[in-house]
Amino acid sequence: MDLEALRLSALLASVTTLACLALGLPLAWWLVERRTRWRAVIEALVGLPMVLPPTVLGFYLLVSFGPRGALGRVWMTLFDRPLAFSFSGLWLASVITTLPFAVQPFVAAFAAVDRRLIEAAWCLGASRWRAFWQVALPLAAPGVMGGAVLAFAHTLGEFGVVLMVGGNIAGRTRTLSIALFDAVEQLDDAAANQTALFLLCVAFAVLVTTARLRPREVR
Amino acid sequence: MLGVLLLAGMALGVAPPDHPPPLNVAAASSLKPALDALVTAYASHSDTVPVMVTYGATGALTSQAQNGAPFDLLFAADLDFPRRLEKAGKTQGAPTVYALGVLVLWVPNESKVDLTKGVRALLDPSVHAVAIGKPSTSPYGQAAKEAIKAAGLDDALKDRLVLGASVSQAARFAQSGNAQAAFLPLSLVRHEPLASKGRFEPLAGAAALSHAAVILTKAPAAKAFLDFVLSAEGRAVLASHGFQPPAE
Repeated sequence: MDLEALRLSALLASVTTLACLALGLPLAWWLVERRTRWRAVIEALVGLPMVLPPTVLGFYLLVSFGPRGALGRVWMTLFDRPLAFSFSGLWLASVITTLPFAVQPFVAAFAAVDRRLIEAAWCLGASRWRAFWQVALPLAAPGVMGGAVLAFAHTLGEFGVVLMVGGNIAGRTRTLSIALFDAVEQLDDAAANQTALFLLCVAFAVLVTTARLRPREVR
Repeated sequence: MLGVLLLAGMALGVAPPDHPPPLNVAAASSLKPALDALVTAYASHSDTVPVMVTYGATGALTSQAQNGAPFDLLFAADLDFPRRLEKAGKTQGAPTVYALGVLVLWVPNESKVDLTKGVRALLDPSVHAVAIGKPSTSPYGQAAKEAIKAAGLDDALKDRLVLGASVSQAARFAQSGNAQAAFLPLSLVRHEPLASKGRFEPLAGAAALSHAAVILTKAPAAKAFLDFVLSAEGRAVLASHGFQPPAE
C-alpha cells in the first residue's frame, strides 16, 4: 500500500474532523436552540454536499480556487501562493463536503438532550456557555463522538472532489482513495486489493463504533 | 412515479427495429475536437452506423478494454498501449498508426513567462503548478515527463507538477487558471476554450507521439470507420486539428 497516501489520508481526516467539531458543534447547538425561520435554509445549505454529486462541488471549488475566483484571489493576496493543489485547499474542500456528515448526528444528539436539564442549569445561574459545556455536551457526548467518527471515515473515503481539485500530488494531495484509483487504472491489482481491503476494514470498524455509540432510545 | 419509471425502462429496453447497433469507440482525450469532427463528417456519408465515443486517458481506456469494456475500436495517443492489447490477444489484427501528435507547452495569456526558453521557462517563480497528464496512463503526460527529464529539471519541478487523470483534465487545470502552465497536445490548445485563453510553443527536440488505433471486435463498422479516418478525407480533418500524417 502507498504509505505516503496513508499518512496523508490520516492527516487530512484528522484535521478535517477537528474542523468539523469546531464548526459543527456550535452550528448544531444553534440549530437546535434557536428556532428561527432561517433554520431550514441553514440546514439545507449545510446538508447540500450530502446530496450533491461531488462533481458539482468539485467544479465550483476548482473555479473559485482559481485566479478568477474570489477565494483564490483572497488566498493569493494573504499567502502569496495558490490555493488549488495544496493541502490547505484539499482541507477546505474536505471540510465543506464532510460537515453535513458531522452536523446531522450532532443535531440529533443535542435534540435528544432533555431540555429541562438545560433550563435547570440556567435557573441555577449557569451561563449559556457553561450550560452548553457542562450539561448539554456531556449528555450529547456519544452522538458527538459518533458524528466525529463518521466525519473521519467520510474524509478517508472522499474521492470525487479530491480527484477534481487535488491534482494527484504525492504527499500533498494523493489520498488513499486516489492511490486506489491509480492502481486500478494501471491494472495493479495487488496494490488495489491492499488499499481497498484496508478502507473496507476501516469503514466496517467505523460503523460498528457508531452503532455502539448510538444512544439507547434511538437504537 | 412508478409508472413513469416503468415507461422509461421500457423505452430504454426496446431497441428500434432494423437499426444496426452503433459503433462504440474509445478515444484518447487529446482527440476530442478532431474525432468529434470526424464523427460528424462520417455521419454525412450514407450507409454508416452512428458512432458513440468514450473519451479518456489512453491507459485508462486500455485497462477498461482489457477488462471487457464493450469497445469496438480504440484510438490511442501512443503505440505502446495498443500493442499491449494486441499482446493480450484482445485485438483483431495489429495496431495502425493514424496520426502523429505534437506536445506543446502552454501558458495563459496573463503569464509573463518567456516560452522561447522551453522547459526552463517553468523555473519562473510565478509558476506554482504545472499541469500534465498522469504519466502512467496519459501518453502526453509521459512525454511531458520525459521532456522535463531531458531538460534536467526533474528535481526542480518535482513539487510543481500537478497530474490530471487524463490530459484533458490537465487542460482543465490550466484553463481555469489553477495551473500557471501545462504540457498539452497541440490538438487541444488550437481549439476553444484554450485557444483564446493562452499561448503555446512546441517543445524543441521532442519527438512527435505515434497515435495508433486497434480494432477490438469483429463489428464490421469498426473497420469501416477506421478506413474512413485513414482516408484522404479523414486525414484532412486530422491535419486541420493539429495532427501530422503518419510516416509512410
